[in-house]
Amino acid sequence: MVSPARVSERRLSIPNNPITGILLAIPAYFVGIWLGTLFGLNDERNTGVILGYVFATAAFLAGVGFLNYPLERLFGWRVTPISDPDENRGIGRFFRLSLDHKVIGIQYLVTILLMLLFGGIGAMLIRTSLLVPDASITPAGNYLPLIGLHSVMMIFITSAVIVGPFGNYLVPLMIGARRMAFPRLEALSFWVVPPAAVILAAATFWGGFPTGWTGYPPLSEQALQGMDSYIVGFTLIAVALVSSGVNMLATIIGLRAPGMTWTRLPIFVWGIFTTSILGLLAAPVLAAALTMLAMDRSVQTTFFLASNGGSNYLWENLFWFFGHPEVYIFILPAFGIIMEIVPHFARKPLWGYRTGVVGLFGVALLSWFVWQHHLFVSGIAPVLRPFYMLSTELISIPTGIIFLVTLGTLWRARVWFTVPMLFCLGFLFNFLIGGISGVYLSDVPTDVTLHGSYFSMAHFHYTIMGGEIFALMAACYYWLPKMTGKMLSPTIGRIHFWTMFIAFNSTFFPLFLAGLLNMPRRVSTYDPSLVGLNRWVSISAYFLFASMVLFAGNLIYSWFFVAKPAVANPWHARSLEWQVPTPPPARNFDRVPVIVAGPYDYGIPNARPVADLGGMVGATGGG
Amino acid sequence: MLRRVSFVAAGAVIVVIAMVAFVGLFMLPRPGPLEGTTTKLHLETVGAVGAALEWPRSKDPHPDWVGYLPTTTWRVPANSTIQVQIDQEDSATGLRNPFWGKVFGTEGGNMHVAFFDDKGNPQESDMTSIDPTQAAHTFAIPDLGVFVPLLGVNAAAPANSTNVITFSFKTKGPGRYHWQCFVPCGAKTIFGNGGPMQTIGYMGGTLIVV
Repeated sequence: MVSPARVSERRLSIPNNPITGILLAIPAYFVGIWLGTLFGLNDERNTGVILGYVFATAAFLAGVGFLNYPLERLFGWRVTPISDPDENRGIGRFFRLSLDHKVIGIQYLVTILLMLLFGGIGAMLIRTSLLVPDASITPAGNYLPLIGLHSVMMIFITSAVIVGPFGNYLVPLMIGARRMAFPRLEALSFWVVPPAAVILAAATFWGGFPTGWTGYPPLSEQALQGMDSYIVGFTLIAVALVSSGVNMLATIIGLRAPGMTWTRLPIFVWGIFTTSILGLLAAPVLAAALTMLAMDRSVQTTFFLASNGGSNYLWENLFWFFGHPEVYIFILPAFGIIMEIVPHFARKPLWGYRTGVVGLFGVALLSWFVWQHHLFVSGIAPVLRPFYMLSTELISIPTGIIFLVTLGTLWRARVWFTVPMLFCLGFLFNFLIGGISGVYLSDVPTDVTLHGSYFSMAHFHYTIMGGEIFALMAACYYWLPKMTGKMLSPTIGRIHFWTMFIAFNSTFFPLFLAGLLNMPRRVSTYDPSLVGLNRWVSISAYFLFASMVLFAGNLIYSWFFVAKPAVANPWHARSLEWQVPTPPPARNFDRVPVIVAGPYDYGIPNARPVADLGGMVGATGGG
Repeated sequence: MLRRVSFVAAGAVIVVIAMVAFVGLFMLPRPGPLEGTTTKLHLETVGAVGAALEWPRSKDPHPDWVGYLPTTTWRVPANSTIQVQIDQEDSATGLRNPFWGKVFGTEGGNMHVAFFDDKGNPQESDMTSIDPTQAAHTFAIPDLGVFVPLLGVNAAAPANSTNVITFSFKTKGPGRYHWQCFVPCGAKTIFGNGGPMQTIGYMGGTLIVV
């Protein structure tokens, strides 16, 4: 943090903002292309494209201002300090490098919602081309790049959609801290995401990539330069996961306010904590595998080429060793959100708080031992199958614990059916179907039949879209009043929930049936007898998209047209983030709060307020 | 208020249209169809589309790729006999699977080939299979059961010579049939399967039966 004395003597070097970043990134890209072509390592310019993307990203980050602090420390140069929460309260703070965790949270949210729109349009185009059983709308060669673009963009989003906006914004507020442990690292974990999205979208200029999100060699080695977008973009997301993970862990371990014991930690923070462990340990494996793939494609190594001594099983193992913990990176913070929001609207203490935490850790631990269930039909040693089948089925136990904790909280509660609560209940319904279908897929005999069919596609859409995205919507309706200071319209919210819930189930439930009828994933043509089913699904998917448009409309309507100011604590919730004014002041707390009670002590006679805030004007705790 | 509404709405519409256009480029079939012949298809296969004898594509983004010319999207009538003439200019690459050296699905189960023998003399004959090592490309429409290996130009042949392969097959009802060369002929890519082999407009395309 910059002290006032330093601010007065600062020297302006170059303006640090995204425009400067883009202006630096464009020449850097061409330098990379030129350099790669100069070495002539590969006639198809893979080296140039990879170097171009890497150079452009580095130049963008430098232009945004990430070099200022290192240059200052290394050489004693006076460079512009990056903006400080106290210095800049205008709208401009959202468009430049900021070290304020609240600004980063909002930046993340807006970026991710735009990416979600992009990925959603991709989904609509996929469903449009599946209106007909032949490839007459999208030719076969263009369908796979479309799938690739949709899937990887959505994977980018879902890796960060809760930890990015809500983790960054809420974790310091929830644990009584003024900032994250490493604010520059936190800013880095955001600012690599826009370049990753742009680089991924740039794959279209090279014809896209045909591998979907898994990038299996040898196809990924044969693919055109669009594949390099996948490699560099996904590596940047891995960087974001690692930097965010280490930062969250350090913050939660080190910066808790006095009295914020481990058992008083809001369960959402536990969700972020377990997610961060997974991100910190899994993403480096992905980054390593992607680097090896990049080297195969550019400098002619043969890590994944069986003909030259490599092995494509190596990729499959590395990828899924990252990939399966990755899907719990999606869902653990969603579990956190559900277990966080339900007690506030059930007006009951979280039933089995410690058990819930154990459930989160159980999922996180077991997620390291299941990855080969993705390889059941790839030709792995059959003797390995029972172990991975068992370990995968075991995951349903801690997941079931989390369900029981949530249902136990709802048991005999007088539920306040607000919009966030509706989304939580929708989550429980959808994730139950998604989770149970996952048990079918983990069984070797059924997996041999269902692998690569729409059954597994419907399964993971039920868990990710029906699970994580429903939790995201719950979080948006619950916390956006705190983050933006404006209430979202509950009427539109209810219409949004019901259209989304019905359209979602109407879209994805028939796909289980399509999978059982042997409709394969990632193929642009299908059996003409399934045309009725697919048209039903496509039309439902349009309604699902329309419900998301309704959400966007609610944001725009509530922020710009009605702008009804939110009170400090509209839900009368007990937890710490609701005890500060809305929107939270620059430094979060006037002085470090002292936590004296747990966040979920509803209905307990003589329950103490959650914290001693030192006379700060805030709302009263609910009771 | 009205200004604000229109400003936000216009911005949202522009963003959505831009994204739809950007992603939607994938929806558009790029090469235009070859039409005008009701029952005849006249094609050319070359080692580099920029250096073709009949339909050179000088402005192609990949002039050194192999390809079918003039286009790989063909529109033909349903339930009729299609006569195909392929002017094959490329040299042999060889088949991974010798079984594919046989002709399937054509009328009479054979093809007529005008080629050059090992001494460079022109020859002509009907064939039901070729030496699998001498295949340059294949003309294969799996859904119609049509499979024709295309004999590579002999090294002893005079410069710029062409093997002319003619055969005919029958179409079924209307539909779209993906076709693909089955010789991994994408030079400079791993196993020959990259580049032109996976890009519509070179070694793969669509037979549209109307």
